[in-house]
Amino acid sequence: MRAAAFVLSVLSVSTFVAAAAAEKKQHVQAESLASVSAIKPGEPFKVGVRFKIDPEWHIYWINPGESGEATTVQWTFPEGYKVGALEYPVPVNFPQPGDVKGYGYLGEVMLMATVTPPTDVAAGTEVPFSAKAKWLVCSDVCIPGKASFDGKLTVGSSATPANAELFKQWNNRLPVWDFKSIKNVIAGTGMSQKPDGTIELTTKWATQVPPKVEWFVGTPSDVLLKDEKSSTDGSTSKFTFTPVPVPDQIVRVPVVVAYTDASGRRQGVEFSFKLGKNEAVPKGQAAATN
Amino acid sequence: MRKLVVSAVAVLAVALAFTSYNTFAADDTGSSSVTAKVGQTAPDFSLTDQNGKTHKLSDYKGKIVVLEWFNQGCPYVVRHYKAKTMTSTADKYKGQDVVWLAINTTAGKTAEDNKTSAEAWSISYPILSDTSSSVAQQYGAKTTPHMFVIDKEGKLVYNGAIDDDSSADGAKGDKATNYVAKALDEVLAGKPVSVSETKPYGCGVKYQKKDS
Repeated sequence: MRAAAFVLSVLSVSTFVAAAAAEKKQHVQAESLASVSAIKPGEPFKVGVRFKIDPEWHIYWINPGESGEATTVQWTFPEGYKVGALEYPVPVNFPQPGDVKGYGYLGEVMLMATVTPPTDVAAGTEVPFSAKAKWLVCSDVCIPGKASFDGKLTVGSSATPANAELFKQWNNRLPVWDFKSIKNVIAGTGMSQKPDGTIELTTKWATQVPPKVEWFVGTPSDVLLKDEKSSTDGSTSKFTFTPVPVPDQIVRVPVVVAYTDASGRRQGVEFSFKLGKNEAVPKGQAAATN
Repeated sequence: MRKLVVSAVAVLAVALAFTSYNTFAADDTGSSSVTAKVGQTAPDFSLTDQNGKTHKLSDYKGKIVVLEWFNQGCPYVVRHYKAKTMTSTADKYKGQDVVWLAINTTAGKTAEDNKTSAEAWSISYPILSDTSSSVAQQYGAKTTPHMFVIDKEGKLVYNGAIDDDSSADGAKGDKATNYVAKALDEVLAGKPVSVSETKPYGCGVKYQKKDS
């Protein structure tokens, strides 16, 4: 693994001044990467931290499940650079002894963010940035870990791609939120809330329900999901649960629905709903939301 | 070339991991064995502590009982014992008819391990051994730590986290709200427990793997 990382960094060192540094901690090797070696003013690019996890160990999604802790990465760029929300690839459900639910990643995952540079920055400007990653890696035991990286990019007249294959691979593993592009698969999604506080999420499939559908609800870490149930009703998949407590402040909760497509590949779609007190929630209505 | 091999191996490893989970059962509560419910009588149990003494929940009827799911190897438990969260809370309420029982369901942990931890961390309350996980299953214990408070009549009145600081490094420190202390104060004052259920945090309870 180390040799491969070294080869990778040698190949891309020509114009890519950013340290393609890899840090090996207990059971996790973390590596900081960017999708460009030169930034074009105003043109968004991606940054990522790639985690290589030892076999039989795992790290967690934004909602880790019934135990564990979310993997997080924070990037810091100079003023004028906008860093978007952390992008999590579609997670897996890993069974743990005692059926304690766990959502996250095995083997390898790259968490990413989209960075939008300012439009008025001169060619040749150096752009230092840092990334701070935190995780909990578990197997029979759990070990918290963290890694910090410093990198540097340069502003050019045009963007020079870097690590293209890697970013393409992991962009493809992100859940799709632009439903128009997959309207042959998904007809719509919805959320409704019953007076007793139960929330029902639905995904209406364009043709038939895929053989395996998994729901991942990204509620905040202090919200318990009680009585989770998934079911099928015709060509609609449903997921119901009762959140305890309902947050005082309204939060936007991402939902990822993972399914196996016609070619046998695992895909995911993402939509979201608002959860909180004093929010007028459409009742009994299936609304396509993004 | 090596980069391609590394990527291929990684993808293969992930793919292999995926295929082994294709038989994962449809999402369900899986809670058929959980009998403990807030507002209802807490299930009785009989477990042995690190010194060989047997403790039954029914032995403590008439007292308030706190159950704490414990695993000396879990970083969340370690940080709480370093900060003396559980031990100082147990001490504070000891004279007020509150019994504190730690329960260790962790596969492979023995009474000797529990004795060592009790000494190292100055734990005055018993650490009960539940490696068959029957009590963890009845209570639906998910994490270490996972806390339950049972009132004098034997009713379960709190199920959840020790406090509202769910990170491995305990960022909130002194500013964390201790849900167990809050519940104990309310039970002792004869008031209903205002926060009776929260999401527990920590390492997953290390139930014995069925196939091993």
